[in-house]
Amino acid sequence: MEKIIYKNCSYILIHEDNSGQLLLNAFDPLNNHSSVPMHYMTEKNGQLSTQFYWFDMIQTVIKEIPPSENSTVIISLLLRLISCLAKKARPFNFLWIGNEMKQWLSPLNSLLQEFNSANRLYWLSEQTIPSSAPSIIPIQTKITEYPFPAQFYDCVIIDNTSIKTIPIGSLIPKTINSIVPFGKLLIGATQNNSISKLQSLLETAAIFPIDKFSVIDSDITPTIAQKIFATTKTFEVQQAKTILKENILALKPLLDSTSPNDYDNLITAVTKLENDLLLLYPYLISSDIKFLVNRLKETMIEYRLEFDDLDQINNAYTALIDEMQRFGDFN
Amino acid sequence: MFSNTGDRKPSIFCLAPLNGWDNYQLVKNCGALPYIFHKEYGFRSVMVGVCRYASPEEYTLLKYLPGVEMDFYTDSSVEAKVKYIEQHAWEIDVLVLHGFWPEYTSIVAKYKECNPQGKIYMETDINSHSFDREQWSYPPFLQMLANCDVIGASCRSMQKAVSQKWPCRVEYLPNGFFSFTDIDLSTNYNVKENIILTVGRIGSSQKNNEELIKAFAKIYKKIPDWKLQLIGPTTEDFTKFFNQFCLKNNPGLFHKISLTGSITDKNELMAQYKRAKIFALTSTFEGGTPNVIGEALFNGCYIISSEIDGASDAVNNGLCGKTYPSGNIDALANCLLTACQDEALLQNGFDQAISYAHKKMDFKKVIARLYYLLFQEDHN
Repeated sequence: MEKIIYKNCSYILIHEDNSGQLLLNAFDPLNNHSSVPMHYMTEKNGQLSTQFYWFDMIQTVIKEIPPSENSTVIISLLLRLISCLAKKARPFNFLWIGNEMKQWLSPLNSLLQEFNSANRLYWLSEQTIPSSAPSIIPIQTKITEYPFPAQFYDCVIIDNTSIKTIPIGSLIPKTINSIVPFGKLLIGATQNNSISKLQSLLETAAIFPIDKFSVIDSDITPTIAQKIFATTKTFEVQQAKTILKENILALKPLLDSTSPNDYDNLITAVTKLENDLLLLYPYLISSDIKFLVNRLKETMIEYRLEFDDLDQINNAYTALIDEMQRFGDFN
Repeated sequence: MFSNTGDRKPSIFCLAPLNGWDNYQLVKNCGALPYIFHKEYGFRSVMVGVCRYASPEEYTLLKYLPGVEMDFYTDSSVEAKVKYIEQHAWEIDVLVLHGFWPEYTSIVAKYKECNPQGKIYMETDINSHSFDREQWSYPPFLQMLANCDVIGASCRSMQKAVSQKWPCRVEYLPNGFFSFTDIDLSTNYNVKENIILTVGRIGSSQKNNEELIKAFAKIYKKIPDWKLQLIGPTTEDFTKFFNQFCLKNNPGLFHKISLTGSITDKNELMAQYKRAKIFALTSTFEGGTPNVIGEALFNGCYIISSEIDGASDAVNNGLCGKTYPSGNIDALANCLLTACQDEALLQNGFDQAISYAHKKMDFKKVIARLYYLLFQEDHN
């Protein structure tokens, strides 16, 4: 573990595999879309100094992890979990699959609560996990018999303690089935495991090998997801998404055929779309869709005011449709 | 739209952040906004704040905003500001807030209580540093966001980041260029000279001008026909640094650099931009795209900018300039040297800058869009 200087002002935690880099990216203020500030200022005797909020929280969790052959892998997995939390201000469902006693559950619970009180970490273990922490829900059962819910978890973590004891070949398809599109599957693997065998079980896996261990970090693409998922979203959200999608698609012919002077009604319609999207935003995986609808509105107003031409509108519309398709939020 | 104002002219009141307006802010976007509303849309425009000088007459740059009024709080306390809003809310049709400060939660709440029909534009002028520290899930802050009709960010990257994070609509409203004195903006690459220009509060820690001097020192021998010009009020510390660095350590450099001092005459300032081929910005951070970038682009300068949040906007994603990592003097020196030795690059940058400036950095167009966002109609 070492510290590196981030931009001109910050020290952050960085790890020897690329989980540190992921966290570094998450530490970029422009990428921190959680409700937790990365840093805050304090004043003592007229001197301002910068304190690092996440850094302190992460340190609190990590110092509870006893040094062992597994601790490096566990820390790496934790850093990746935290970088997920920073991506968007929405509640995340994590599933951690592992069998070791976890002294660091309590500080981890605090960290999850800090980001969003609705965050949940489900802990699947064959051993007893004593936990009264509200964000952490123990599931004590035989791992091979656990009925994984379809498309429920944002991120599933299989730590290296499980890999030694679980038939991983049969577990991976079940876990993939339980992850939302563009969710993450993290596997803490040691060199004793056959990395190539693990990779062959995943269609898209990036492996970051170092001397002691590897972590497989796989994005579950919509293609994979659609093969095996049945949607489990609540009816109201699904209905709202359908209406929103229909309204966006209905715009296209009108954008091309309406003269600038008659654009007011169209702009009002897109403003309403923006408002609807504000309500739906926490349920969406894409972080950019709100921005892209606004960009479309901006080009429409510029066209209405005769500052710009139709090409800009078409470009903005295409970018929006691409984003909708890419993340599968509206499938 | 303004049927509820009766015989009264519609009005826009712009509140100063924290401790009142500085004179220089009157001829930046802060003053241009109310002036355009007055001149183009017939509004009564009022700039409100604590008087920062011995008397209001010392706001000498108000002469560039004919018709714009200034009004003053009794003191800088939140109570005084809220009281002012309570007394004047009935005559305020549009309230403009600059920045996002904790005191705005009380001010916005009071305004909406007293004038629910009134419109609020919050020009956040936000940068990544202040953005990260904001505990936006704090309920009064969320209420304030909900009460604002238009929330603006002045550079694309911040618009995107804020939009991804805050539960509100966020508009891109850059700090464009506005000609207060109907300056002739026509320019020609052939009139330009081998000058690297920077404009701002020279020596302030934010502007980081020492970096430009040090970078120029590394390359000036390779580009003997180039000069560096710094325009703006100079701090004492910077003067000391300059004398030490140039006179004692790099005597050959001294005659290649001119510290022009402050130029308040806009015509004269524009003439300096017209002469320069390159404009350099070394700021460690900015609220968005700084006003000087609009001025430089309108005058066809090739931009070299530190990687502030608005850097991509400043160089139009590389079409009319280049960015470098702030603090990396070698990278800045390299950018400057490459540009100074490539006439074709500068000439193409000139054309791109002028076209981009007229399309995206014309502040009258930006304000026309703001007007549309506030009232859902074109004023014309």
